[in-house]
Amino acid sequence: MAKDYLKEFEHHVLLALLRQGHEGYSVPIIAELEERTGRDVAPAAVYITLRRLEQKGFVESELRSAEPQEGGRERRYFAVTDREQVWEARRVYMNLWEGLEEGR
Amino acid sequence: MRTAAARILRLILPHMDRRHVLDELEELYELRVQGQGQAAADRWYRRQVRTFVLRVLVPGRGGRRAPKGPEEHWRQRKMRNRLDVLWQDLCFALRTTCRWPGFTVMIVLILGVGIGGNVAIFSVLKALLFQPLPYPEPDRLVQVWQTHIDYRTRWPFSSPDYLDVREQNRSFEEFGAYSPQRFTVGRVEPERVYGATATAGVLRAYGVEPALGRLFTEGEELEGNNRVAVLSDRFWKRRFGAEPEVVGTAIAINGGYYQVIGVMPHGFEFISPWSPGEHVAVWTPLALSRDGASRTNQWLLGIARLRPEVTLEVAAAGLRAIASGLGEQYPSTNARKQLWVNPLKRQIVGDVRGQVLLLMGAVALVLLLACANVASMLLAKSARRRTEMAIRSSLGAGRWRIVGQLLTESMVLSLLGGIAGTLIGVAGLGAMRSLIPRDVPRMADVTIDGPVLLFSLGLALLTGLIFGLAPALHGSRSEVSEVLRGVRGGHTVRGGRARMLGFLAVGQLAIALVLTNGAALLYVSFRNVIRTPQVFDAEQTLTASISLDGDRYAENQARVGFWNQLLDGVAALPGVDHAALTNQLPLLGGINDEILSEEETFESRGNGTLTEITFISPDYFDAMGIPLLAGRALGDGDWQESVRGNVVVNKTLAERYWPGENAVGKTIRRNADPASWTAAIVGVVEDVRQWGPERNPIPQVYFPHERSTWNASWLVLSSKSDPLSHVPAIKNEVARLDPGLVVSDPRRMEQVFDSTTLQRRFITRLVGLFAVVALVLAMAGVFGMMSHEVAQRTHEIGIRAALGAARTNLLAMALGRALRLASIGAVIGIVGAVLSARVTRQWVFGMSGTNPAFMAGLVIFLLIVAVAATGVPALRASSWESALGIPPQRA
Repeated sequence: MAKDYLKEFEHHVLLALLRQGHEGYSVPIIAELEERTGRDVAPAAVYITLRRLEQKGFVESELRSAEPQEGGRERRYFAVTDREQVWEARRVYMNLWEGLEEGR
Repeated sequence: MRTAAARILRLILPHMDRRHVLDELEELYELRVQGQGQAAADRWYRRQVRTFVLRVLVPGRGGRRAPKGPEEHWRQRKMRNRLDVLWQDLCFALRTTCRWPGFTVMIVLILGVGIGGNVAIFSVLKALLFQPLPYPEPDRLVQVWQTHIDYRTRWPFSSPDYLDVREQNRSFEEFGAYSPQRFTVGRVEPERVYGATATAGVLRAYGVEPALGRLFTEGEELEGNNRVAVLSDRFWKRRFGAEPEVVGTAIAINGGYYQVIGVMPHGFEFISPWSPGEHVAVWTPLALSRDGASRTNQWLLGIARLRPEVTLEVAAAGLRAIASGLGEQYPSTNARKQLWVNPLKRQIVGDVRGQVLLLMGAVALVLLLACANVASMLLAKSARRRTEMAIRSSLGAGRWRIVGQLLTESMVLSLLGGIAGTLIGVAGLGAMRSLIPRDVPRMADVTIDGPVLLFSLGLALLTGLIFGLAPALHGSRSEVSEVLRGVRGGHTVRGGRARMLGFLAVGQLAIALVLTNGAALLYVSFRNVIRTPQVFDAEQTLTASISLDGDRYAENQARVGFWNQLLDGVAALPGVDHAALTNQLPLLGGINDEILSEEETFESRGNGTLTEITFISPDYFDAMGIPLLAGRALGDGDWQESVRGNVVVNKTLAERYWPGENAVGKTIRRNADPASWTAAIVGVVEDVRQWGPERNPIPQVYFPHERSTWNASWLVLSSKSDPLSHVPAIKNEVARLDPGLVVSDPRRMEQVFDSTTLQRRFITRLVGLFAVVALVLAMAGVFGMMSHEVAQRTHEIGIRAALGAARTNLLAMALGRALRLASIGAVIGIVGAVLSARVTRQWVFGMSGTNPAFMAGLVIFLLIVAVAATGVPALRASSWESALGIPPQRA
């Protein structure tokens, strides 16, 4: 059963995360989004969306240190939990798109 | 800049996200720096922080949200509902205020006046009472006085006493002594400035480091080493153009050269109890020695910094022990002396505290009155909005919902009033600043700043609650069916509203009575003060201060020589009748000593008669216009030996020692062992008030100036023409004798007198202004209430008229109610006035603070005010058109 519908930006973030190989942290996700959508993306929006996706159960996260030494930078890694769910969303979209052409 | 932004983020982010978000943002930032450069990246970072702030803090835009359970969900829904309601109420309140612009402007103005007065006075109160003195750890700063053992006096120290206390005490980290004085600075264009000669401990006690150079050392307290000076920042900038090279160079002070060794930091004010409002510009070291200095010669102010662990009580106990030790060691001079430590702040603020609190009380009453006034306006208005409220409640609005809406409306009004009040306060403070007497300390610190604005916001909200609550509770109590059926005012509602309006009118009248009583007391007292007979000739007497500085005036002979030459020159000026010299002018305070008559024997200092000591030249009484009552005035040669001579005394002294007898021919001597002088009385003169127009004369002795002439003295001359016209000629005369001297403060005695009544004048004017505002508001309040009542009772009056009630009966009915209310207001007001007499007591002069005749007059005045305010609405009620219930025709 579908847990929840995905809003547009959630969809974007989720796809950007998948393109990272199912797992990644904010910096490459933001880079990916900016490159693919051609728009500036506010990190705050991405954090909040990732949190919301986690609440909805689409992703899970853990804290990791980027460098092994003391005082190294910290990152929160997100991973897609249920790929089936995402594909389901894609199917819904494709169904809705089917038969439509640009300009009509 | 970026660190500040990061700090904001650290503050708002939830703990669990803080570190990694900041780290990742840093990473993104670094990427931007590489790609777009530092400046663009900085801008980007700041933009991101703004976004975070908006998203995290503004509800509904994501952010700090934990997973929602059903309760959480409902809580949020409820919260959002409440916010929606508030928003609706706000919009509605704004629309309402715009719907009746005249009404709104009126209320905002009334509140503005009430709040504005409070804001202005509060800003003064805050600077004086709440703000700590501008020194490090100001609570440790104390003023040290010598005092009489039996009662509190503010005696300065003698130098041997000061040196002994400095040696023996264990409570002070620093203990300095100083003598405030005027310095003449510069040889070219010399000017007179306030300054102090001070021991090394004085500036160190204040705990402020110099901005340039250094402070004095103990070594510079020795005669010969003391030719150094420290300047204030303001004086350094003004006189020396802020040249740092001034430090190390020599400047002329009082005719000698002093090396500038330091400049105090910007903003440092040397606050001293003898010249609280003056800017002290120069400090030079004070050279003290025990040799030859008498313990009876008390002239030094003591200032100390307590050690960190020492409390005021411990310090006081230690000083008491020292004082009793000195008393045993030097019984003839110190047996009656005690020591007293007073925190510097209390010392400085103590004298003006009473008047600021009095003004604060007065403005608080004005605001309360404004609240009552606005409340009655809103209450009357709520009568007109009964239909609206009835419709609201029939559509399902609960009572509290309506109360909330009405309260929101009053809050909007009160906030607008708060804004108007702050503006009025700023303007009022500007006007007040020019009126505040100069001797009120710390006036430079009075500003409308954050805390004052917060105060005015708080006041506005409180005001809104006070004046809004009663009308809101009342307005929400509409009886739906009656109103919608068109019944003119349900009985309970109308009765309740009339009662409430009456209550508010009574309150306003009572407050107005209290304020008018205070203002009238102050006014009459002020008039009593300025009408106090002054024996001197206020209009035709000129005074000016001249200071003989430098080594050539070190001997009294040289000073007397100079003065005699000057007096001869000035007396010869055309139009000048008499010219003389004195060391202290009437009214401005002075020096005193203790004397004994020939019958009294010496016991110890502290037991003699406290007597003003004035040194004058022969023509002084004529120049000042002081009448001679017996004997003769002083002439040349009245003091030829050093310890013996002739003096003139005032009436108070003569009557104290020889009541009913002729004092001429009697002798007096100084209360010391041995007496350093003995004098024969050759004349008695009328009393002058030496310590201001409000203090009774005390015994006074006039010595011929041959005995001792001060460096700084006052020139006094009388003239039939305008005395001020002689100032240029006097300046020429002084410059002819010595071009390095300055003639300062040329004033007529009238101006000297005015300067001593400034505080009283200021207080009287302000309270008078508040009382006028209060009276106008109260009158408007009664007028509004009666108009409303008449409008509400048009129907009833019409029926009464139709049934044969006479016009006079109807008029009497309205006036009767007004008089009833005014009488209740008067009774409450009298109680308030009697209670407030405690506060005004220190300002009442030459009359009783609770004079029954005075109060009766006030009550009659108040009744007249109430009747006058009722007149118009009452006449309208009794005219036949309205009596028949016919509304006036509109053209």
